[in-house]
Amino acid sequence: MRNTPFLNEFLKEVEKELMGVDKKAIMEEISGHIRDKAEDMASERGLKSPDDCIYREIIASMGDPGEVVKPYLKEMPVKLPFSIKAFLAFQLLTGLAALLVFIEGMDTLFWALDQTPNDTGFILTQVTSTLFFLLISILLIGLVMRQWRKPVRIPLLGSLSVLVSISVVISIIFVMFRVIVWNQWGVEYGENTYYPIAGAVTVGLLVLYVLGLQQMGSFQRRIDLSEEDILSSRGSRKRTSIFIYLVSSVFVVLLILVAMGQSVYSDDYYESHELVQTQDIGGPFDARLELWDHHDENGWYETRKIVYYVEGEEIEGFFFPEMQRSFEWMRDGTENGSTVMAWWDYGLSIRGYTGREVVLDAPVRSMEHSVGDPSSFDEWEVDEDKFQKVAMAFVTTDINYTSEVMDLYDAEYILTNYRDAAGISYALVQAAYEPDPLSSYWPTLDEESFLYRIWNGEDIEGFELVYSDLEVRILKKL
Amino acid sequence: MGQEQEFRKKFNRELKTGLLGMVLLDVMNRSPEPLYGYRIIKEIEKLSDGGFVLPEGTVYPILNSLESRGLLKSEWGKGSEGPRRKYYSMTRTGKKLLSEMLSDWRNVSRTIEKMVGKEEVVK
Repeated sequence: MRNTPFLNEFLKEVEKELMGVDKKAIMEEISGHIRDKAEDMASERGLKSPDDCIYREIIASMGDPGEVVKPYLKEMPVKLPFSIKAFLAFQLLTGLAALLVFIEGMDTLFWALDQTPNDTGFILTQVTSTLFFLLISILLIGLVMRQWRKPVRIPLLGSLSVLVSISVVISIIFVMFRVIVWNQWGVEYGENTYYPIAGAVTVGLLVLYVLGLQQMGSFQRRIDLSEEDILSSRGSRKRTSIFIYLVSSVFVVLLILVAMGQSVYSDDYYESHELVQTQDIGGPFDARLELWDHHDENGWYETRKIVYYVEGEEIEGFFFPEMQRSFEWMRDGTENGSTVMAWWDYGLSIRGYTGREVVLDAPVRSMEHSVGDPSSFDEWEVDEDKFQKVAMAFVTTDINYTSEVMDLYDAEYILTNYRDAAGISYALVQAAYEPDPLSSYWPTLDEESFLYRIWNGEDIEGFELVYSDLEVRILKKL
Repeated sequence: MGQEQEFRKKFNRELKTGLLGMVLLDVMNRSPEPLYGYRIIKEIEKLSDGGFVLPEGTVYPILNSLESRGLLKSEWGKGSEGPRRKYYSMTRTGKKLLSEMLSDWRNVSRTIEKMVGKEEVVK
């Protein structure tokens, strides 16, 4: 007995509707049932074999192919298709990311409770955002586990988990923007370099979510529609898809506009830099100090520069006003031609202001992460070994080593600002031991180190304290 | 269709769905030989004098479900012509469970019958 074309077409439709179950066995059962019934009906009507009319009658009584497979998909264990598995895994990752943000948030919260216990506004914000991420993480991981164990739940909980996931992703991206713009983790990225990347990531994630939502809709159609839905499903499916596409498109366009707006906003502010005062210093390099007024995303603030000329070439560097007195002492109280060993930050100022030579006047590439504005650097120190040796000379506990490095570079004086031992001490320790910008290790200064001992007011054998004020100390090697 | 008729339809459907597993096991238990899906449907129709007409496609998924729970076992056999047929038969677990289910059903139906048959007024 051969199938009629009409029966074959119907069976093809039925097969299409079966998803994630043992299709072959079910198709055999369904076609077997139809043919058994057809044979039965044919013999009742005195026919030799079933005709097309009988098949049409049987199929009409069975209903829509979706209706035929629905009981199977409800009763049988449904295997998740790869696309749904991938989407659930993606959601699980989002939940884990939220968990990481929660852990990071707890860390910040404990820090704030310890360091700024009276800043109730910040603490309250931190508590709220931390709890938000914890709640969302539990919710998302719980939803995914529930859906994974009982796939029938996917359509029921799918929309909720998609909404939760989207809110997590947007929140995380928002945090990312905050970190990039406000430089909260002490890591300076290039200006606006990360906006397109963050934008692309956002759009990519949203596209993935839209695709995931579609997969869920397709899954839902097959396993969880009521009879009424099946009868009227075709038109509403199309309407739902169009609605999802429209909402997602509007959402993506808005995000792009926001990102572009952010970029324009930043560019506008970078325009506002004004030189407001200058002061001539003179000296062998004809130096002058400049006071600049800035208005940008960081607010309204001023900076100081030292500008001077070496063999006709203009040199400019950041000037620390609190060091001016110590520079004047150095210019007047040290011999011409002497060399000073100091951290690179002060190198350009020392040379320009005092006319003395310095061991370091620029950072190395491997320590770029410790530099406030890496984009402003045209020239980098190429001798990594020298840079590491100078850093080590400051942080070592072996005073002889410090002397050896000073001898190596013909330095008679060593200058230090208090920030070397405090705010930027990590940079000196990292440069000496571990120049790894991705390291979460935040090294601190050893209490036996040369630098610590200077600021602890200790006498150091082989050195004489020749200058001291609130923020700067200069020692001469004996 | 009015809401009350819809409610009645739902009641009938749920009643039949709830009992279908037991009815299927009972039919299988009465048969001396393994049965395939269409035969089972016809047997149910015959035994119930046409009172239990099952919608197309309802029986097979439930047979699969009973099989996956170890109450039925199946094997594929060749039909007279054309596609293979899946023949179902009872397992020992299925027989044991069926006797328990029948006992539960008799208790419930007796109780309900007793209750709805009384003419007392609820005060």
